[in-house]
Amino acid sequence: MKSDFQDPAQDPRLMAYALGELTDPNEIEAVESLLRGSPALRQEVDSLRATAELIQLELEREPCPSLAPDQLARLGEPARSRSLWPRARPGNGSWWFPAGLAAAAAVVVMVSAAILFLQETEAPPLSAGLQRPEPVMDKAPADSGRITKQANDQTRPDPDAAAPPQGVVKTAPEPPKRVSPAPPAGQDSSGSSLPVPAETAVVSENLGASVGSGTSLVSNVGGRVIEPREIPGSSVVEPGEIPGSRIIGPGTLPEGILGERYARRERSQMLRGRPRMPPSVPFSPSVTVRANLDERPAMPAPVPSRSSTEDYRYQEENPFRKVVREPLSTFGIDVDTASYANVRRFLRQGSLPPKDAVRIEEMVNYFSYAYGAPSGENPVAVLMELVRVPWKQEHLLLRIGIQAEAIDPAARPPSNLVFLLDVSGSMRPANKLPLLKRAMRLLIKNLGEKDRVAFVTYAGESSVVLPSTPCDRKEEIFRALEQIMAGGPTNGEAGIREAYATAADHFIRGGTNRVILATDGDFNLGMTDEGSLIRLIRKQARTGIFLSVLGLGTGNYKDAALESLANRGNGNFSYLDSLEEARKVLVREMGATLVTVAKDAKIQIEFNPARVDSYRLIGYENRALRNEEVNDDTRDGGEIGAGKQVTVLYEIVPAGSAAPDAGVDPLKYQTPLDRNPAGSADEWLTLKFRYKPPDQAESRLLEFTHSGSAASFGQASPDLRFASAVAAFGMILRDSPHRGTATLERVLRWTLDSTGEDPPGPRGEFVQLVLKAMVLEE
Amino acid sequence: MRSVLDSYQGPLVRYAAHLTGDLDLARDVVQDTFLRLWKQKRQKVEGHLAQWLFTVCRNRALDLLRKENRMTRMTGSANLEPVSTAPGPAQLLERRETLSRVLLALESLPPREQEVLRLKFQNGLSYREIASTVGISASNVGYLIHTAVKKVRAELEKHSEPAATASRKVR
Repeated sequence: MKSDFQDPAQDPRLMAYALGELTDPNEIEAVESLLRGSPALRQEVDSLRATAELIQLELEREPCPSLAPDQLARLGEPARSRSLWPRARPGNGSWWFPAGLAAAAAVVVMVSAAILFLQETEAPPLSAGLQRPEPVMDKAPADSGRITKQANDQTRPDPDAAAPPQGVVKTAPEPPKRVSPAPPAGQDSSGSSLPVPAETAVVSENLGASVGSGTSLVSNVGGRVIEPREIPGSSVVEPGEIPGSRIIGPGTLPEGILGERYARRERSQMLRGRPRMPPSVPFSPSVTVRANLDERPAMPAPVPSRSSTEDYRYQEENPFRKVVREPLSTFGIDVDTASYANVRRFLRQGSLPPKDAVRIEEMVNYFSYAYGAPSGENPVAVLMELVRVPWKQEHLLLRIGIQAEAIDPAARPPSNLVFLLDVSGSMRPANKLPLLKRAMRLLIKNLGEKDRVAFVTYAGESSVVLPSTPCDRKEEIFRALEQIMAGGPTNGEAGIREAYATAADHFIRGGTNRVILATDGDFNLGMTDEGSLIRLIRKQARTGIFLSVLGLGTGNYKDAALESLANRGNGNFSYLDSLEEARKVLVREMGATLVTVAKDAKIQIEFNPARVDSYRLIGYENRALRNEEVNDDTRDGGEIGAGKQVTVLYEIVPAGSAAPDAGVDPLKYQTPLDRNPAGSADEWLTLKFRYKPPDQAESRLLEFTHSGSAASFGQASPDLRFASAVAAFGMILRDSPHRGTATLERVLRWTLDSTGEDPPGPRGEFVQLVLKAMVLEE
Repeated sequence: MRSVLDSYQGPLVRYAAHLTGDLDLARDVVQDTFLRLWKQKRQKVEGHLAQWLFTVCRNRALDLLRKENRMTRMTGSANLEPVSTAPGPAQLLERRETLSRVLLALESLPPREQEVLRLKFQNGLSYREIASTVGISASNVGYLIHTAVKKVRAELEKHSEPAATASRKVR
């Protein structure tokens, strides 16, 4: 077929084709036949698409200023309906609540909350004037130029010196295998494969300063740390640990005035080009209704997040625990990284993220580190390292690095993927469904004839848009993909059932069978209770069909609900905020995203009271397990994908040093401390790693120990220094009571020192985020 | 209802701000748009909600501009430029340069082309939806977008950056 244009490159259909805007099959065929005949035109289409992506990236970054709070209130701010389309009410032609009936809407929300599930529902504000101010964070000096210079002045550690102490590894009887702590194999470009000096103390000029400055925190006295947010409305002022700085808890200021002033500042900032997310969710601490999806032990009362309707589950940070009382620390392994991408989105948009959107372990695990490769039959290698904590004098930082075995892309088992796509109206913006479609294109390009994909959409009713199709029929697949448009209400239940049924029909034994749910979380799952959804997902996970969740979009993003779903489905949860991130998740890490090498992985650590007084697990709050659950194979742990890494950080108070006690009187009927433990007095801990091979129900156990003395922070591996910086950044963003002397300035110093040869990569990007946060704090 | 408000208020304010060049005016326009939406019957907007919202928002904005006799349309995005004035390392600057080149190129386009690009790439509207929002034919939309994208590409190539590699550079 011929183009009507003399120069076919002038044909606007090329652009339309590149954007998936052609819907008439005849036109698609016309363009495709033109393309088949001309490599130059194919290149032109690619180039147009690339330019369009660039424009889109740029335009998506433009901030979305919000309506003013009073306007939002007038438009029915209080009514927080969970589905896009409220049920039509009989006898009323209008399908919206009449404007101005805020009070009535409030009652409706409170009542309907009883039957809702899967999502937090906030009741309306008591008064529109009660704005929750963003806490003013510790004011770090932001002279980044100076900092950069300081960091550059530091000499690099001497690479010829001895290596740091490493973990001694033992294995338990099942399986009878010895694991050796394989040295870093130099697969990371970050320079971490360099031997790390044990003696040099070059870096300590700065580090000494950071460890040495004032460490007493009023909020820490008594050990049981109470975050100001737990007692909204009360007056908690934390004295700054740095002279001249202030941390102000949210409840400390007269809110009416501050809210007003804040709102004004907001506007002026917006106009000056430095917008922040408006505090559009009013501060209404006492009337939060929550249907908790978790079956885990009760969580502390939730606190509403502070920006738009994005839901983030409140997590109290793990406190320090005394080894005498709780020698065991247990958690399922979580390898999600969604929080980092989300935090990055907030900072790039020019606002500090809501505290509960910051999950420290997900930030730390976003980056890759050099942990060596597993040996023998073991699916994982474990590398432990112990150094002094840079943000707290006398405390130690234990890093546990777990490296899962990588899978040769060519040897990847066949995949049977069913994409379950939310095409409700809320998915329409360019950063949702259109981004998702491009991301899927990227993934499918890398699949081959052994693999199958199917598309199921759910809106008003679910429909199978593409039945399971082998991936050598790409044109067919792409055509189906381009036809998917957003619009209409949401019914997730039928969609989920349809997707699992499609996956089951084409089940590949020994392959990857996975439903990939992509949504902004604003779905109406249609099931009558939360249990039925969880039961469905868990039942399917047991049959070998796992669930991955891709979170999309801004402003309406239900973080907690999505993560919970993925966790129940033995799956992973990623947040796609840009095409770059989509490439990372779906293309570069496809092995890990699609192939699981160990499932229900749980770590249990037993600390040796002879060496450890107390410990604190950094992050992982939402993956806490009870100690006895580690041996209970019916309990869900975490999944470890091929090539995936897991990094776990513990802050440790060594035995003999003054430690924050939990404020409990000495026990009357127990001897205070067993200083003569059965095991080796030199060992800090024993780590038990329990997992199941992906196709088995019986779990296996590996054991590792760590001994030797702690290195100074300057002697730590660059990887550990970087991970510490990321964790400290997370603590600052969360305004954590455990942040100690950490400031953005120090974080920056530690990062600049440990980004290795990776400045343009993810670590360099992290440095930029820290800079961005410094600017926002000003 | 709340979800509709959440999903669309930000993008609508951004769109209206570009049309009117005035953030407060844009907010009034968007508030007005939602007040009208609440009064609509469900059947009238179901299935083409985004198109309805953008159309009403656009009409309201142009009405107001006409009323206030402020026909000068702001084309720049200086007010909404997200990039801070932070001093940063060289990579940060380099990246901002690449990005602002795209912005500069966008701003040199005629208003109609800018608007169409925004509706397409910022708000994810289809050619047909844009056509009915702006009141031109879908093929005209296709032509405008094709032309505008090529112009942006040409602007970028002036700096000896082929667009195909430019997309890889922005990371």
